[in-house]
Amino acid sequence: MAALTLYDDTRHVNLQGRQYQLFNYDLGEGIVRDHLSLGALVAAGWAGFMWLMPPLPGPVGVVIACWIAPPWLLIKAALMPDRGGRPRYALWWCRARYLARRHRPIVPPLGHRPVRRWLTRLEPLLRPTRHPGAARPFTARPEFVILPDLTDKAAA
Amino acid sequence: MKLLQKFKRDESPLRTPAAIGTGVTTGPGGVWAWVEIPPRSTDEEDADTLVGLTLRAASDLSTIIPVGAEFHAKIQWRNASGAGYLDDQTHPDLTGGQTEYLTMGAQRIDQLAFPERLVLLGVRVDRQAPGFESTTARVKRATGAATAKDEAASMLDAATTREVRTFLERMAGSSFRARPATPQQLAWSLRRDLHRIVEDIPEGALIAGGQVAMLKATQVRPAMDHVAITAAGGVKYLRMVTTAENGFPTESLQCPGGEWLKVLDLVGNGQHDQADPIEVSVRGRNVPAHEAGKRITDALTLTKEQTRSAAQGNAETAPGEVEEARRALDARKTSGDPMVEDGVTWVVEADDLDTLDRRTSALIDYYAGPRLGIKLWTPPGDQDLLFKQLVIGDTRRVAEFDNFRPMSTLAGAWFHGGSVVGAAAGLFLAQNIGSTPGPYLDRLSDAQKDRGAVTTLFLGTTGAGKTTAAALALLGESVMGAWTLMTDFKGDMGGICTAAEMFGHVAAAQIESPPPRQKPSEPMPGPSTPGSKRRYSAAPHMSFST
Repeated sequence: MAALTLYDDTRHVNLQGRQYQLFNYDLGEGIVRDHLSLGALVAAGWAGFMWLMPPLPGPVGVVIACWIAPPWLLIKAALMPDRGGRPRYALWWCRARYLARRHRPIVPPLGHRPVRRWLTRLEPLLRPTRHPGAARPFTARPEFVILPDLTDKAAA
Repeated sequence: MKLLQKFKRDESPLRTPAAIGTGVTTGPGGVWAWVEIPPRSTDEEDADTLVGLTLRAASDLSTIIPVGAEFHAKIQWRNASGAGYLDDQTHPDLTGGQTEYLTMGAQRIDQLAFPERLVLLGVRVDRQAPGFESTTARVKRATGAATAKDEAASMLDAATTREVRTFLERMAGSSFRARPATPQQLAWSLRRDLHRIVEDIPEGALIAGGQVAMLKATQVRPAMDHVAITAAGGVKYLRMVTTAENGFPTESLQCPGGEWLKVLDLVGNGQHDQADPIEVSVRGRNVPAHEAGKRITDALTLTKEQTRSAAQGNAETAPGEVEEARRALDARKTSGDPMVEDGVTWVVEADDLDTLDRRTSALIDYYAGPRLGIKLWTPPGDQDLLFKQLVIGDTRRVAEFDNFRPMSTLAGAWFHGGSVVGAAAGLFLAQNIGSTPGPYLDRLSDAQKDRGAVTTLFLGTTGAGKTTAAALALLGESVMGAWTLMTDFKGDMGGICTAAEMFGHVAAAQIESPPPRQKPSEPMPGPSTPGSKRRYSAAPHMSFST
């Protein structure tokens, strides 16, 4: 009996490259490059933050722990897989983006005229006479019109 | 930047069509050509036929969908309408009894609320669409020189209209036998997504401006893990489920057996939770050969580099997935299969959040089972965007969960198959309980009018319901005025005469015979009850034996 295999190459083309050596230091079974980039980003950010902070009081061990532990914990948490198999930082990013946009209505109000996003953002500068908070006037109209039949060759 | 590019989202407002016509919609989301793919009878096909049909469908899709163009396939479920059945069957010459018989059938169809599948396939064909965009249009888009309204108005020009017609005609001539989607179907799809209304839009309703305006006004409230829609019938909760990262198995799915969109009546729980079948939306792009080749080559280069790097260090060998990817990509490169990138969204609907959770789990569990092995999940924080991209005329907003695969894997989903049986019009005789459920309609005597085969054979195992099927079919025929003769030596068609008499057909002659002498070898022995006897009846329009 014939059977057709339904291939999927998503996993193959999304293959994550591993770094096996870093500055001539062998990394054993390798570290996923995306993870390495994220780690470098977090570590650099934390180092910059600590650099700007006043010197920490206390024993040297605690100071070293303050330099190392927070970024290490953050990286570890960020790389834990979520339910969809993605690193958790992806989930944080999506949630943050959602919280930033959730006040916007999904369905545009009647008479809404879509414009460029940057134009919307510049609106207070371009139209300074508008009072803050004033509602945009709109005209209620049918939401779509019915087109003539394109499949009718005689009419075409 | 590559790290975050993967999580890029289109968060712009929803783009709904500004104009709808036969087989076309235009609006801020571009011009889309739409066809309806009618269901077919493929559920019972043998493996060889099914494989052949899948390859043919994949070839059709890859050649008819313009290279690089964006497409949108939607599977939605309406309810079969008793009123439609009545309209089809009613004519002025009907007697009171016949009308009563048909009305009873129509009421039963409404009562059973058969889910009726509607498959729409749309392709974006305007000259600003991926695969069609001219340099001028690209400059205008980049500089913002044209507003979306202007763009929408000028989109349906002669060249685009030609593209629309070409797509509609080629789909009609393909193995899909697709029909241009009617304005009613497109408006219904839009209303279904935004209002969660199942009922059909009657013919002519689209002309009235007031009706049309009501199609889009709705309140949609997104949440982190669902979307709530306030409709006339109350609040409906939707959850958009999609594939997890690398959620599709690389090569364990096979056709037949692995048709991953064939059965969608998954989340109901019998009497306790009667759910409608799941709706599905597939948005994707017919990837040009050079682009697909580049993606495959880049991935192959990475696998080679990984093998080399691993060999130089303590690891010695790269993980097994690298070798597997290399082998598979090599095979794909050699075969030159047309590739597609598509994102699939399953839509779970419920009246409350508890039921929504239960139905979502049922869906995810079904797909994770050994037969399919597909990992699904509900991405939190993306529900509003996934909802928007369900709507016709909108665009791809979340590409993170897209799959990259040969077109045959999409065609092998068998969203276009079905369990169609019976005639397009006829008497309501039975229920079709296959992958495309619905009323089984047939008129045995119509075959004679159409000069078709006049012999009908009822086949089935013992207890399958052959006698009941024959009795119901002939009851309908006799009520509608055909001459009917039934001989039943077993005596299990009792009551047919009485049923026919209920609709105004009175037996003119009734023949009764004494029970024959029973022989041990008789295949259908007569009734053994003392005193029982057989009756034969004859009428101007029918004859029954009971």
